[in-house]
Amino acid sequence: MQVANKSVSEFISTEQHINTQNVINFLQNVLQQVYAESFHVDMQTVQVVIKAQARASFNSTDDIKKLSETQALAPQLKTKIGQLMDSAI
Amino acid sequence: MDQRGDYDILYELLCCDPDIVVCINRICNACLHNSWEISDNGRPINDALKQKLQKMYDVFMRDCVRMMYMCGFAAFYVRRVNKIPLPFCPVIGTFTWRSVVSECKKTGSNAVYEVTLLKGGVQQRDLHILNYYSPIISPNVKTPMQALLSQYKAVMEMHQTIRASNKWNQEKHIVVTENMDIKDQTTSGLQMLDDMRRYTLSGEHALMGDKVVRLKNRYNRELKNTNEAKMEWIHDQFGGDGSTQGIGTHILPPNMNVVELSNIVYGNEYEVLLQQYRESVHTFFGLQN
Repeated sequence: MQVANKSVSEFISTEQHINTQNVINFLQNVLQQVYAESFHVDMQTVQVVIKAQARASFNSTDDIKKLSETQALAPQLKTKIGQLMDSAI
Repeated sequence: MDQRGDYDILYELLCCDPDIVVCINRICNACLHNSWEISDNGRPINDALKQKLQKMYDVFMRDCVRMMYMCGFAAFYVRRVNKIPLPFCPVIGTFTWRSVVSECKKTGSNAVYEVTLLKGGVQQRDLHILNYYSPIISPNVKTPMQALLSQYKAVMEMHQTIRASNKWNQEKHIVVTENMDIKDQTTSGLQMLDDMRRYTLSGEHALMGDKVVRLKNRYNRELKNTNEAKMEWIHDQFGGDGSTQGIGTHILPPNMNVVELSNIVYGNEYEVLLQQYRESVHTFFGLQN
């Protein structure tokens, strides 16, 4: 799935992303309670973070090229991608 | 959900229906594709402990996702395994649940979920329940997936009907009726027909006296009726060696009309129902189909 040729519907929709975030919030709450119950600590002192899936992902070099041309890539990310390409070579 | 069967269909739906399984997997993959971080008092838990918890927590969270869609809540209990406290969801099929009107000081709600553990050795007091959907007091709604359950049952019923139809169509079905045109018959003609039928089937007739000659075959064995005589003759002719051996022969009474029933043809109701069900599943889980 290429970003360059993607239609809007091919990205994870906002609604779907919000749904995912709701489930994550619930699971964070569950894990917070689980950890507090398991190790007998106060729930208020426990913080759980689960990261949601990104709404779009790189699947080809065309995706990177397109995003780079539109200045959408942060310099740090460019460096990371460069390192990734070096290691691949 | 009052009937035991409804619970079983719900478990089947949740664990075996490909559309539901795919949707739950997609949600789990979206939520749990990255690792999680737990901090206690602002400090992340050490790597050794995290490594020990990671595997079980991942399984536990997937169970929670499934349970929250099935029941509207996630229930868990903590047990020590190799001295490490680990969370578990009660296994599907070991408990039932319902919504009851009750003042809950913890949440402020006037209704709570009540879980009844049927087996598995877990104590009621060890169970913790966290609501995903608020409980609903209704005799008709016991699971958030109630509408999907009803649609699934309809799809399954239709599927069974089609299977039965296919089985019926695989076999040949005939109907035998008596062919008789009343308007062409006189009373004596009908009487003759009855007498003929009686004579053919039983070998007896109204004019039969004590000294009537009995039917016999060539080996002098007595035959009861003319049908038997015909069969005797057919077996005698076709029961020999070669290509005539093993031929099945049936003889019907006179004036019989044999009609072959046509196949059962069903429309596209099943496809329409299945399509509606699939769309409902994806709508329920908020996923694009």
